Amino acid sequence: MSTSISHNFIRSFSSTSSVARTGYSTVHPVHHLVKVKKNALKPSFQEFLIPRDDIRAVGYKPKEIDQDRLMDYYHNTLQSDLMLNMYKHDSKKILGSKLRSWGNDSPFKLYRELKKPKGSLNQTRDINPITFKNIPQLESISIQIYNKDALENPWLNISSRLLLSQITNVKAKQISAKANILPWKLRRGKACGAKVELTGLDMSQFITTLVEIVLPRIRTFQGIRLTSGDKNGNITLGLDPEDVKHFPEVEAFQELFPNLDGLHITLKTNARTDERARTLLSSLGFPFYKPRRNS
Amino acid sequence: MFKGSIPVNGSSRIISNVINVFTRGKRTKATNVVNASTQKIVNQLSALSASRKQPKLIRLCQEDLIKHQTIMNAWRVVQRRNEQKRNNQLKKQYQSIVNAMEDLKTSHPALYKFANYKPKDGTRFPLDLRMPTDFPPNKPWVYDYVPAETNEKRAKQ
Amino acid sequence: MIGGLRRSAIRAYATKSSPIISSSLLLSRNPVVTADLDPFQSQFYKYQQELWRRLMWTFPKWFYFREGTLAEQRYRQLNRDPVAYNPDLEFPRGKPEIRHRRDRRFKQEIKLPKTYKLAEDLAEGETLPVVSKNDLARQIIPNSRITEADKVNDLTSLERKLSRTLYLIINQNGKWILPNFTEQSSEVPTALHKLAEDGLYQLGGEKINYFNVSNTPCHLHINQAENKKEFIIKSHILSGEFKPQDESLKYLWLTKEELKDKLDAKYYYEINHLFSDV
Repeated sequence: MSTSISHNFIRSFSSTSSVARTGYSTVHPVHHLVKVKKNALKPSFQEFLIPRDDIRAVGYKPKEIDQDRLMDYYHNTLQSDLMLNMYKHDSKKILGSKLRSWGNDSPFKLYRELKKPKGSLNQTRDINPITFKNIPQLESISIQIYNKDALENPWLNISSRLLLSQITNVKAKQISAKANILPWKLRRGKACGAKVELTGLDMSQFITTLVEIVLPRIRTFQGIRLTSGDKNGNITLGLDPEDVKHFPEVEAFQELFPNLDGLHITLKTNARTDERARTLLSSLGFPFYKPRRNS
Repeated sequence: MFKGSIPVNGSSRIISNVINVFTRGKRTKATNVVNASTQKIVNQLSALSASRKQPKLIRLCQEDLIKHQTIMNAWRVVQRRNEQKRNNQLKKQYQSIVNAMEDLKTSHPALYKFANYKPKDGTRFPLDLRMPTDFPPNKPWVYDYVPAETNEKRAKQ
Repeated sequence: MIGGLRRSAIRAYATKSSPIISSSLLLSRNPVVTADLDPFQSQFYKYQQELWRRLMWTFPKWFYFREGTLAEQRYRQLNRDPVAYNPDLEFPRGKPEIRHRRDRRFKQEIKLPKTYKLAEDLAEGETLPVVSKNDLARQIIPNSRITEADKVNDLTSLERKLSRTLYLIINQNGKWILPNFTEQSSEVPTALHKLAEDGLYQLGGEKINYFNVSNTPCHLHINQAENKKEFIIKSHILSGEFKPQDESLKYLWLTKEELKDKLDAKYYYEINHLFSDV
């Protein structure tokens, strides 16, 4: 090996790399770069490779089992109303703040990591004027339960998961702590709640239940706070454990759910701003209110 | 795993220490009995889990499979057609809004200003605008609507 | 018909040079019930539902009905266990696979105990008990999707065709049009949507709960005959009664297809994309 180095020594930035290199070609063959899970190719696993919307697949579940009255209402009535309502003549695209270049007057600036956007740490998205192509629409709902009692008594998390699954008709996933925080008794990996992501008919069903049955029966409910929202068109509301009682799945079987948990519900829309998202949600029947400064 | 007791008291959570009941020797029916609260958790877990509750897979014969695929393809064609129809209509509606506003801008700038005014926080749709239901309410239409104060004032003027 | 309309028509002839800006009202009553399904749709949904039920997990009876309770006993009376496999017997439909008292080859059909009595459940000599309307245990019979107004085909009723969007049209000089309003005095301009709102209250009375979708007009119709520019304002009637203030006013609530017959063909062709198909 040392002889080969002395024979054809090429000067490079790093001397160790060429020393450590063995005699053969350093160009890696392409097929080694593509990772193949060979164990998944086992013949007995073939039926697991079929996509889930195929009836031959193991996890097949029919999705369009009934008329989706929320989406029908949206397409038949709301969509064109929302377009007319949000249309502003002669409005221009509002550019979001993006990563900036350092300039190109020096070779050092060429490959330098781009400058942070003006006024914020992260890039923000452009806001396009509303046309027939980008009318806000509800995309999905994610619901989360945080159950801190489950940190001490893990079996309490079962009832949280069951509660969420019963309400939403989708099997809830367990969430676990991501950090070790001793005062809160958090240990990394410990189960502390449940989450679920709803789309399609389940989403519509959940919205209808929420808007027509649950929210009207909460006495203290004023609406979704106007301060809620992540500036990207996703609005979050919370329900207390007492409010969850009004879901028909829970109300009829109260003795089965002795420990109720509050829900964090995030309504995800493809609206680019919170104002547009609020208009969309108000059209679906969610009220909004402005919280007082001191509360 | 769930050998313990959880006395549950309404909405407040009171959790006593888990009492493990150890029994030496052969597992018999008498020693295997669990208390009520443990049984409750076991029931909850079994309601959630797929164990022994899953039905048999559907194994369609070739003919049935083709039938199924034909149905699904037909459904998708219908859905796509409807979607296209909707999008075309929206496009036309959009064009007419643009035309109307373009005309109003030149013919009456003052009215154009009113028509193009949008509140900063966006508008709220009223809660009376309801989603259609499968069956009508007892009174299909509410006739005895009493207008709000603002309307009453307008009426007096 | 209305003073404003007549006066405006006269004025229109006086100043032919610049067209008068007026606002038309596209007032709709949204569907109250869901859209009617066509046979293909309803059959498809039925097929999908059957598949879905076939692939459902077994109902966790032990979770909802505690062992030894009266409810559980009633449940067991209604839902008999499937026949278990017996090597001495012949099973023409195949060997049953029973898990948790369900044959996992088929869909599970569950009968729940009723809280009310039907005529066929009664023993001889028994009569149906009188149930009050507020009794929670009563049998729920949904209202009919076809109303009285549909039966007598009352075109002026807001209760007709609950599954469709209805639009208001009025008759002016023997011609069916969307209600159109012109401003009385042109000193201070009134916004188009305001003009339409005032016009609606003049036309149908103050007791109307309506929602104006936007300030923005959704269409411009140029009326050559009257030298008018008609900007169409879209709004929905939510509740209240449309009561014509002028006795002689003829008005109709029609669906898109019916509008085609009533409206002028050219006019309909121009604005048909504003009407909802459902």
